[in-house]
Amino acid sequence: MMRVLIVDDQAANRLLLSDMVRGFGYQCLTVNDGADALAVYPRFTPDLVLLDVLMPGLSGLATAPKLKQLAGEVHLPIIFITALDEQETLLQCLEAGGDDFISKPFEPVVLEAKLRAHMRTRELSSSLAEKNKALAYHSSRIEREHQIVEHIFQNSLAHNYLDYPNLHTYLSPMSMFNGDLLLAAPGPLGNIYVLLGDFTGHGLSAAVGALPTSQTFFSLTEQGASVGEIVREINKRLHHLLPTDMFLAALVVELSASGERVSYWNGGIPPAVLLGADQRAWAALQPQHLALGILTDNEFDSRVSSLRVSPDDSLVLYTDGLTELPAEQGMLGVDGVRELLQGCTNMGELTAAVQRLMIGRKQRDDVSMAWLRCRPTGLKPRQDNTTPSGIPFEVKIRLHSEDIQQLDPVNQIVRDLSHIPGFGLVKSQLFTVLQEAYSNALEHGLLQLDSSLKSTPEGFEQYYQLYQERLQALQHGWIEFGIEYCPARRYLKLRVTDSGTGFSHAELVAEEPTDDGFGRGLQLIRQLTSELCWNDNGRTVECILPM
Amino acid sequence: MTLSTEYSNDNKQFVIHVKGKFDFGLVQQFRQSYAELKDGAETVVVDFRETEYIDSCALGMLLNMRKSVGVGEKNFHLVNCRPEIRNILEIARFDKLFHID
Repeated sequence: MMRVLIVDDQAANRLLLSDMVRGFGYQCLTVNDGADALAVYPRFTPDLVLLDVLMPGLSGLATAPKLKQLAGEVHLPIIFITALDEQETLLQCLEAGGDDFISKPFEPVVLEAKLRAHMRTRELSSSLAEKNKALAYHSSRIEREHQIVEHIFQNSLAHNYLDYPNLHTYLSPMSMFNGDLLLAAPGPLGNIYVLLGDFTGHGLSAAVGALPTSQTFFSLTEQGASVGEIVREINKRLHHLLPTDMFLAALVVELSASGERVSYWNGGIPPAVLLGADQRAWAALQPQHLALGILTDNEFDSRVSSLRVSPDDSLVLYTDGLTELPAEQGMLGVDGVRELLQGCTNMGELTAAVQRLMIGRKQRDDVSMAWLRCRPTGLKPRQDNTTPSGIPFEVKIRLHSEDIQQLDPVNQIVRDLSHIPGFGLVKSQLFTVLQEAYSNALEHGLLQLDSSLKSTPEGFEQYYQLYQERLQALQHGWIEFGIEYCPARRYLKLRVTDSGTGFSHAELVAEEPTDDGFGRGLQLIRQLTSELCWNDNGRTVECILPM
Repeated sequence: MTLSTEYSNDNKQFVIHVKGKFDFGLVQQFRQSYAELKDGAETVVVDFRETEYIDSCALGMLLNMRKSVGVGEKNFHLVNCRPEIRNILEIARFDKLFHID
């Protein structure tokens, strides 16, 4: 029930008014003066006040602003009771915060109409205050959620390599919430990858899509995956996760360690520009594909393009926020961007040029840009930093004809040895040396193949056909590996012996590489090892592989 | 699948990826991979990013490819080599015959 507070110093008025107000169906409380009215306010919390203007003590005019103050945000209608119709008093009442007047003698119909009208205002105001409160709550909750997502996002981008010295970027501070994404990561070969993405939609949804994208990007770049594999995997994940109307326009670029080769896949990003030393755009990385997250894995086209670049070239990537900047005639557009770039030699100049365009104009979309200099990256290929094992050992592996037919011994030996700390660093060299020595023992010692056959492409294949035939027919013979690890002198002593008839190695120890396979293999062993020698009439080859 | 091939978007580049070991086990597969090279392909690229080991037989296969596809008509690039593999290619002086990156 709505409550009405009646404030009047005359008992007759109080009685008359309270009777009428109760009769209209309101709860009602009467007090004698302004001070009492303020005193009962917190307890009674009236929805409307009927206030006499002239009272001893605190007058109605002095009480009204205080009541309004107590009412706080919700509108409290105050109707002044007045016997006067002096213009001046009415004006004072309005200034004091009065909303209406009712004059004596009281007309019940007029009073009821006024009460109802002001009660409706009160109700509206009160429901508005409720809604404001709810709105403020939701707004602070969203604010909090944004903070959480931003936190997660920052952590997930902790490895984002935007500090790479040859990469300069321009992003708006809250770019994750406008859907733009700029990722950079070094690869294991000293190469560098850059992804510029633009999600459909804004706000949290765009940021949510950025999480799986960045995770996939960082994990695949760490493995040194190709651009094609990276975009295929991101597409697969986004297609699986995102609703149909949401996708990621993206340009993924890989610059080789030498800085000479750019491979890229562009799905829906405006053409990135390759600038030569003279600031002239000489190539553009055109969008050739649909954005990521639209097609199924089967429909997806991961074909990349590549370009050879020189050390004075720069690659400038940007989102459509730049092409959509207002220009003299409509939007800047792709040609406008090219023109803009002609006058820029670095990211600082480009940023300044873009900001000049933005002055006094409302930005339609956020601009993200990256400037990559195509120089040798200077990034070190990743290496195994483990301390080499300190335990010396010696192994002897003898393979008989059936083992030789069935096994791929060098691969397995190297794979097993590479688990020993420190062996990862030399596994590739170890493979090459053992494989050459083993092939030599097998092909010449046991299978009696003639290398000269390999001098023509046809002979090359014929040689390996013959190899297969003789290997399958092999009945006798063995090949033995001796591997001795000496941690004190940091080397591996390798020995390969076969049960063949041996040969005069003198004819093979030519210094210059010949065009046949064995000469080339020998050359490899010679360069990778030291103290290369033959024993047992050429049946045993020994060498030392430094670690 | 240790050997896979693809064309670039503009079909001007033919890329061969070799995963893991690049040795005599791939002799036939490797030759077949470039047997039906499209005319438009100007450059043959062997991508070594996933190649762990190579041996002298692989060197022979690369030379055969160069010979049979046509020296002088196409460009040959060996790209994304790990330092160890690059070392082997350099020992064999392949930097004189191929563009190594």
